[in-house]
Amino acid sequence: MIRAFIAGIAVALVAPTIGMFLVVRRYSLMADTLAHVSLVGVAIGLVTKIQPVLIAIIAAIIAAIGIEKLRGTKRVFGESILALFLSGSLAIASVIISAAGGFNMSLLNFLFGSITTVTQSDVFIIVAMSLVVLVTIFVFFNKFFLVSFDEELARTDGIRAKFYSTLLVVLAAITVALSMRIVGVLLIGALMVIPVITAIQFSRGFRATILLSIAISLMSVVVGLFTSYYFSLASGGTIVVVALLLFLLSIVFNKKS
Amino acid sequence: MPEQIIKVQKLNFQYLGEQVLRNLSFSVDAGEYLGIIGPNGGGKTTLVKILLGLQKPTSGEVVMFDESLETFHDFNRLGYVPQRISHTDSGFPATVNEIVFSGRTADKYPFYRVTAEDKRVVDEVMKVTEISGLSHRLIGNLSGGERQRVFIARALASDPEILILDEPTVGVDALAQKQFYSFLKVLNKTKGITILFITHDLEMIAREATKVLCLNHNLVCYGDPSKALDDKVLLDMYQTDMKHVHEHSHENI
Repeated sequence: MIRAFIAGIAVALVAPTIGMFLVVRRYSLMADTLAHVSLVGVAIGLVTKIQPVLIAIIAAIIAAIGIEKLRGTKRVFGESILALFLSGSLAIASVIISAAGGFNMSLLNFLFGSITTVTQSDVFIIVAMSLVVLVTIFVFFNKFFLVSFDEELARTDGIRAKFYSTLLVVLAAITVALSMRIVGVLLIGALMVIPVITAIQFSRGFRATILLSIAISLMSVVVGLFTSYYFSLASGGTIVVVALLLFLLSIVFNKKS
Repeated sequence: MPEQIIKVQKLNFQYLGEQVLRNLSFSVDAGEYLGIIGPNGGGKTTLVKILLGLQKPTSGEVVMFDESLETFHDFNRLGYVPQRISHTDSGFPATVNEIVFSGRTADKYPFYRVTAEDKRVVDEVMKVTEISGLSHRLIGNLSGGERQRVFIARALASDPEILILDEPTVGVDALAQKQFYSFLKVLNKTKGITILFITHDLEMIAREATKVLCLNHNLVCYGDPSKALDDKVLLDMYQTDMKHVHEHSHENI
């Protein structure tokens, strides 16, 4: 349980922070896409018996760079690129899984998240990589902000907008692959997006919205983990249900005020 | 003699086999107010994008502050107000304060923290553009005229020597446009900021600008608006009789 909490809190901090940049860039589906790509990494990791989280991070980073490159060529629409990677990677993952004769429980844990199977090495990887992502965002915050607001304006300020756009999706890829153990491949997008859109309801500035979304995400993860542990429910689903309830509350609260 | 801060020599730009800019040569002096006019698709925005380093010319040379644009990196000396102000993402959750600060701090080195001098400059440009009272409002909740002033404040926050504006009055009402033009004139006269202004508003050019550059792939005219904007030039650019506008423009000089 303690291991799950440490990993859960790390994910709760990093998921909405990077999620904010995806949401404002109308890239909310990026998280889901990268999650499905991560599944390919997990499948490879389970077949080769190499740490699945690490392979998932590598697969997600490669896909993130590929998506940005394709987006830059403007030969395929933005959302079609995401659909291409999302369904394509799911197809590859299902081929690998069926060729290996299925992985039963271990794969299900990655799909829906499981707090009881989080290992010591998982916790180490999740905390270390979360720190890397958070520090990178802190260091380049002003650049990420402007690139997300208006890429062309950023370029006129002498900022290498393409580089920072790619760095953002690479950070998103790392975050997605990390969150997989806690909330599962199918629900990562929700943890990266729901706290952010909940916080946006309160119409604060960019920084204030990020801080508020982190608070909402922490609350969802803590309440969700406790509930799932004591009632033997799937951790990912419970966390996302709590986040959804908070979103509904924010809508009601804003209507009243 | 005023210093030439932009020198363009035999500039050509091709895009998908089409000649967008053909053999342009001109220079801009410090403190000038240059109006850039021409028909849609005539290359005005492309020219500005080349000056801002967003696009590379096919051939020719651009010298910015005595340095070739190929090696020039000091884009803080240029402020840019884009065309798409009225299309700003209304859902973007950023305050006016955050947008204006981004004009000063976005290109700073990693770990850069805002200084007292940054705060002073941002306060000043917000006062000058009369948006101090809006600092905590979200950018998406502002009117077109207010947004326009936010983008100007953002461009001014880096203390630029040149301010480039690409049709910034599109979608803004007549009163706000008038106020905006007087504000630019003050910036040009009192602060000595060089202004490059793309517009379709010939009256405004005739009234405000010290020089006009007419662009329709070629350089159709360049010089004092009262002399350069003759009927032949307007016919060359717009393929229509603009005599009425032209005469009206001169009445306002």
